[in-house]
Amino acid sequence: MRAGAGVPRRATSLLRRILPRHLCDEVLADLEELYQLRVARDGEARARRWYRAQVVSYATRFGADRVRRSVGRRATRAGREPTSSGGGPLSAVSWLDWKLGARMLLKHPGLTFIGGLSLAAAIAIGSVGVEVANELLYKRLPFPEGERVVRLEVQDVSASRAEPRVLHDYAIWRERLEAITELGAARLVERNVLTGEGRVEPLRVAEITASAFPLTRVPPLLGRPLQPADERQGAEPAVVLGHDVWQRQFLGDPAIIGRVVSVGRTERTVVGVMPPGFGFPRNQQLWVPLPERDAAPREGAPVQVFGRLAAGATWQQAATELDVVSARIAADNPETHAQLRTRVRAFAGRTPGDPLEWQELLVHAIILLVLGAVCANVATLVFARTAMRESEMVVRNALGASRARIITQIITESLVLALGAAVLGLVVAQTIVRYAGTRTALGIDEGLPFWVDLTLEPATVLYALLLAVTAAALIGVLPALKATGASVQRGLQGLTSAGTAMRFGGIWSFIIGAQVAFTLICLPVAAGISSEFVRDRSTHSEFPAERFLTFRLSMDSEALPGDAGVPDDAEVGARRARAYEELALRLRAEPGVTHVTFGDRLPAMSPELTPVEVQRDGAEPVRLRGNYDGYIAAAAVGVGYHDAFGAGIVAGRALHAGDAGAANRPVLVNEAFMREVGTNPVGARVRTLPRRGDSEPGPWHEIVGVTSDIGMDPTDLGEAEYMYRAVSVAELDPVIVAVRVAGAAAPLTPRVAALARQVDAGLQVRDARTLEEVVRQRQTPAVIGATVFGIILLVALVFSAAGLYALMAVAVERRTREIGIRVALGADRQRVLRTVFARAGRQLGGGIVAGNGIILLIAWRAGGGVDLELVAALAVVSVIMATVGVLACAVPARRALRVQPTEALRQG
Amino acid sequence: MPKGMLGEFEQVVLLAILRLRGEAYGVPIVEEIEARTGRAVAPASVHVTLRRLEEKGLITSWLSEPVPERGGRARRCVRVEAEGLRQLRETRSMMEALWSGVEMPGEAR
Repeated sequence: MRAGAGVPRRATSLLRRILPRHLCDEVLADLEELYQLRVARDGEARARRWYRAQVVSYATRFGADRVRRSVGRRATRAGREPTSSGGGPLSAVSWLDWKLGARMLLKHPGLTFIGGLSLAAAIAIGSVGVEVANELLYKRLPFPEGERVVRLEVQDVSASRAEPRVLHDYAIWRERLEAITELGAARLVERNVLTGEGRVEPLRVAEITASAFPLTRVPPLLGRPLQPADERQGAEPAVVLGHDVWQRQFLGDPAIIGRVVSVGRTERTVVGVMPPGFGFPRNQQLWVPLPERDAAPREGAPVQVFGRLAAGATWQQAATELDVVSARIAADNPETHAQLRTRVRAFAGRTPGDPLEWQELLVHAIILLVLGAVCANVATLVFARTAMRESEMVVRNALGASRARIITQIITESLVLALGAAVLGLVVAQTIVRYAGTRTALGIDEGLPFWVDLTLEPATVLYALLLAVTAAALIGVLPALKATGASVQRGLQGLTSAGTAMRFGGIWSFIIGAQVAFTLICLPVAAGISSEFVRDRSTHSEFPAERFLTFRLSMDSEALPGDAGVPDDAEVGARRARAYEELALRLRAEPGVTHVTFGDRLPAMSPELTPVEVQRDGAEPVRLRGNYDGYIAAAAVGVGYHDAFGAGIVAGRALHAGDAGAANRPVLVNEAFMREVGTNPVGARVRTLPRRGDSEPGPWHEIVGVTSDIGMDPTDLGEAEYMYRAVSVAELDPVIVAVRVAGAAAPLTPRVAALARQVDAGLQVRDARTLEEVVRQRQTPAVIGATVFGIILLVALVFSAAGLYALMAVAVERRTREIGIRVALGADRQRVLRTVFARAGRQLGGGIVAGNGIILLIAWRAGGGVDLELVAALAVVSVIMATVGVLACAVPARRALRVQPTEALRQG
Repeated sequence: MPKGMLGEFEQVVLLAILRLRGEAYGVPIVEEIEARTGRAVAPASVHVTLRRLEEKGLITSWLSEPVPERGGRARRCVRVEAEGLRQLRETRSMMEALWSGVEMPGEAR
């Protein structure tokens, strides 16, 4: 007979690792002989099964023997087994743990997929939270000693707002402050710049003092920065370009220095180009000298003031000195400065010495809560997996692995899963940060600060790794402790009996039940969000939004030749009104344009919400409860607004040109408003009521007409109630213009900027897009919210199902022999199944009852009461949850029904 | 268990070795025990017990010549030493003394 002929090779290989080296050959030879005898007696299949069982038998018996020797401290000499059998090769090499961990991921794809994705989501959430906090709170200016660059803020405490007209104070601070040096000031504006290719583009410009450049310690890439000589009266107008502008607008022209560029209405000479990434003070693209340096107290252009802490000066010293100087200014100018308070703040990030805001701690608490919830669920699945591997744990222990060693192995397997999830989570976090950052920048007029970048910081990556390690500990420790506890000893004694000694105890039962309850609560909420979203989409799809072009119009505040200083708001407003009229005239002359109108917002843009009361015929005013949480939507509109949007007048009259500024302050309301009032409101008066911080109600407005609903602003309770007041272009900044076109409006978009340039070089056009794009952008948060919530719900459903499946799989594994014996004794299989599944049923039922109870409690506390609709909805979701639970138990149930009594009895 | 008294399975293995009269190694020991007791025996238990008995000096072992039927591998044969015989006798005496006078229910005296 050839050695080893016919015996299972893998079992033999394992036996070679288990047996003491000097006994290996002879014991294996004996086993093979016995195997051949069994083949002859019982057949090959049974002989092979018997042979494989000997692996466990030898492992436990030789392992127990080793334990006995070490406990009794018996020392043998010549006949002692080599220590390689005592330590075991598997316990020696830690890299093998990682390899086994990776193999476990492949071997259990369900756990890998569910657990990995869930952990990745939790880590992504944590990474995004920390990254946002880092960028907003902890990031410093990317300059040498950027943390010592400060800004000086002035607050009008009586009006609770900032006071930016501080040129007068700035001059005094420059003279008197010693703890804060290199003071500078800047005014941030937008100017139309004529590019090298003849295009007009509004760019972010800083009118800034020359001292800002040495403050930053950043030298220009080309040429020179602004200098004090450029600020003198009569000096040749200079401009410094940003790197991006130089590359995009002027194609990186190496001869850019000395070139004349049209910035607003002024021809300026390029004197320098700054390096990439420079955008001080916020995200400016060009820098020109600040034209105005002196002003009377609280007059002049609004500016921001910055500086640098002097060498050796502390924040406290700077704050104290600033208080003293500001007090002196206030004493000299009590009429203007009595209510002003000045403080020194870090230019970027949190000011040292500021207490931790509770919001920062809340962010970390939420991150850990989410991670903990996910880990609890993943730990359930890991526990089930470990329970199925109990015999392997016993073998490891028999090979000499200590409890700590086995625990380390299990935690390492969890760590492999968690680290893989961390990598995926970081990729997702980076995508979210880039997307959200880009969308946020579009929504902020000034854009994001230049020191904020959308690449994950190293600190965020480290945080993600820390979360992964924490997750690995959370999901690995408890199953590991369970797998290596007293059950190991029971396993040593009775390993050849079927099943695992591990069971789902109280904690796991609670987790599974809580998961079911959470899923049940999420279901109706998800259904509500989805139905609201579907309703919004269907409403907007009926409106011809693609035929409307919208853009924001503003006028720069650059001084014109002959102006005495920088124009005030009234002059700029008048300039804007003239320019708008001319632009509207030219737009109406374009082919296809049917209407041009304006307002402070358009339909489908976020409305201003305000509480109002209505008074009729001298009666007591009545508060109107609108569809927006009791508030009414309000908008300021120009003449022809409703006509442009196809809304007709159903009562009274439309607004006309003379209404803006009229004594009776006429307003239009819509049909939804009239339905809420209950009667024709024409002739009644309406006014806004005090909101947070306001002390007096607004002035009375006369309702002069009722317009039909435009049909773009649905709420939960129907169309929104609207109030439209008349306004002129001069009063609005920016002006939101709407152009209605007979066909598609998108092709008109490039013409708008060109026409605006022809009208006035200072006229700025931004955000030119169709109303359809506005709607789509407005719905993006709802889409994202619905998607995220849907994913959460799906994960919750999967975890519930997976938890129940794991519970039942372990129960069946544990009770296989019992099932076999009971069936052999004549028990009905269905009845046996019912007893085995009783526990799962209790947890599923308990979770459903708990979830229903929580929802009913919330409904009762919210004051809405419990109605038939709610009960019906709960019944439906309970049925859905029960169905999911039953389906999750289907596979283990099938396995239990297939247990053959003879096989079950043979296991032992 | 009193000092010097053999364990149950140790007795079983020693007796099986004695019954085999010098042809004892792992395989026939397992077969003999199964045949005599009617119980399945794990070969691992036998091998561990043989190892323990040898450490106690109750048996000795040696490797036989290579056996062609076993793929040229040798057998580890065992025999009971004097100390093993002595402990077997002592254990038998103790058991007989304990059994003496014991009436099992349903047994005739």
